[in-house]
Amino acid sequence: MADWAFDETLVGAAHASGRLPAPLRLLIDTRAALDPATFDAARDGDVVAGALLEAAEPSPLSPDAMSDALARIDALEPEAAAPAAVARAAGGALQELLGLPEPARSAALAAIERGGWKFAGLGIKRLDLVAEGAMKAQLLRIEPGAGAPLHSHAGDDYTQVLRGAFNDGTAVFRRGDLCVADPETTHVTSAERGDVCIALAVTDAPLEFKGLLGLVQKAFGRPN
Amino acid sequence: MNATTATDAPALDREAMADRIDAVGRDRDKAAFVAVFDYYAPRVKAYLLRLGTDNGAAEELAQEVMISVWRKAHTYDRSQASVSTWIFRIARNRRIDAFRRTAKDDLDPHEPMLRPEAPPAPDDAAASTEREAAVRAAMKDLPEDQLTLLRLAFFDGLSHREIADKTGVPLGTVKSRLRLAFQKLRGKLDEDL
Repeated sequence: MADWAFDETLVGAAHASGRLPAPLRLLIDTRAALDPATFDAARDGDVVAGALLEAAEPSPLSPDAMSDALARIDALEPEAAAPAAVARAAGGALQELLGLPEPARSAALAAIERGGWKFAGLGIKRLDLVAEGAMKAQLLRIEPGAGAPLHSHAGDDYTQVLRGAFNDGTAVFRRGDLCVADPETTHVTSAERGDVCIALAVTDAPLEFKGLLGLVQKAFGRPN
Repeated sequence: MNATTATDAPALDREAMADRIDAVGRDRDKAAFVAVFDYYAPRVKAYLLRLGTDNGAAEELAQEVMISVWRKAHTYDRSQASVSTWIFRIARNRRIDAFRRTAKDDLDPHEPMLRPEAPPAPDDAAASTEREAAVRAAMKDLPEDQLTLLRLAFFDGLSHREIADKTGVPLGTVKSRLRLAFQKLRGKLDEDL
């Protein structure tokens, strides 16, 4: 039992207002597909903002805005179908990617088109999804039983398990769980045997996360 | 069916608005689109202006948002969200995209919570409409000071610290009041509050 959660009020406000950097937004939106509490907090935040939008004092557009919009609609091309080149680029891992929760799934397919997996150690690959400033979101793919040797973190690090499970030397994190590490944390990370582990990892310089989403230790907390 | 704040905005018929989005999605109904545009475009523009977008850019972005409404109308699902919540999400995401385009050209294709294949949390889809209605009803009863805090945090995107500086309310009080207000709206006022 080793799971962390974000503060629901902070999640609601940060998600609704759009103030989260892109990597954290991807993390929250993906976690929402796995964790009902995150889904509810994000949705309720959007509902509050939607109600505030409704109540906003209208600010008139220019007189020809409507006719402009209608002309632009008439000029729209029919929607293009999704590109098929992705399948080739993703190779054997395509089925794995298609099984991921949205929006991590779409972000991964787009990243495959841009460049693809990079070697990150024996049995470990990473895929760069999105970055903003020093903050990065990557997909990690760890072969069953493979893992990173004892390591520490230059910055803060949130890892959301999307498939399979990994062990950080102190506890097992499964699909839906969130693992939090900071520069104080030194651990090994290895996928459990039996299945590939895929996780969404967001990293940043130390202290940058603090205050954006808060952290709550869930259930029995994280054993030392 | 009243507007959700003390302001005397005209009552919005949410079912009728959802019917219009369906008509746009299903029949490409321009009259329905015009009615949606009339109501939402000036509010989206107001939202963008409030967040510091200049008038020209707010006008352009509000137009883009409404064109997205036209394009995505077939994905709208009234059992998942009211039209206001749905359009708010489009507006927020377009604003983020526009900001990122100017910041740098990093491709970010995802549109959170807009994709039809994005599954809602398992046990939860049916309850969305009722839950949204409950949140709106609770907003009407919220004291003005708590509503102001909600607006600063959920709409304007200010941090607790920025809200404290702006309002003169102590940081700890900002935190606890926001938590209280959000919990109240969500019908979760149990535990140690």
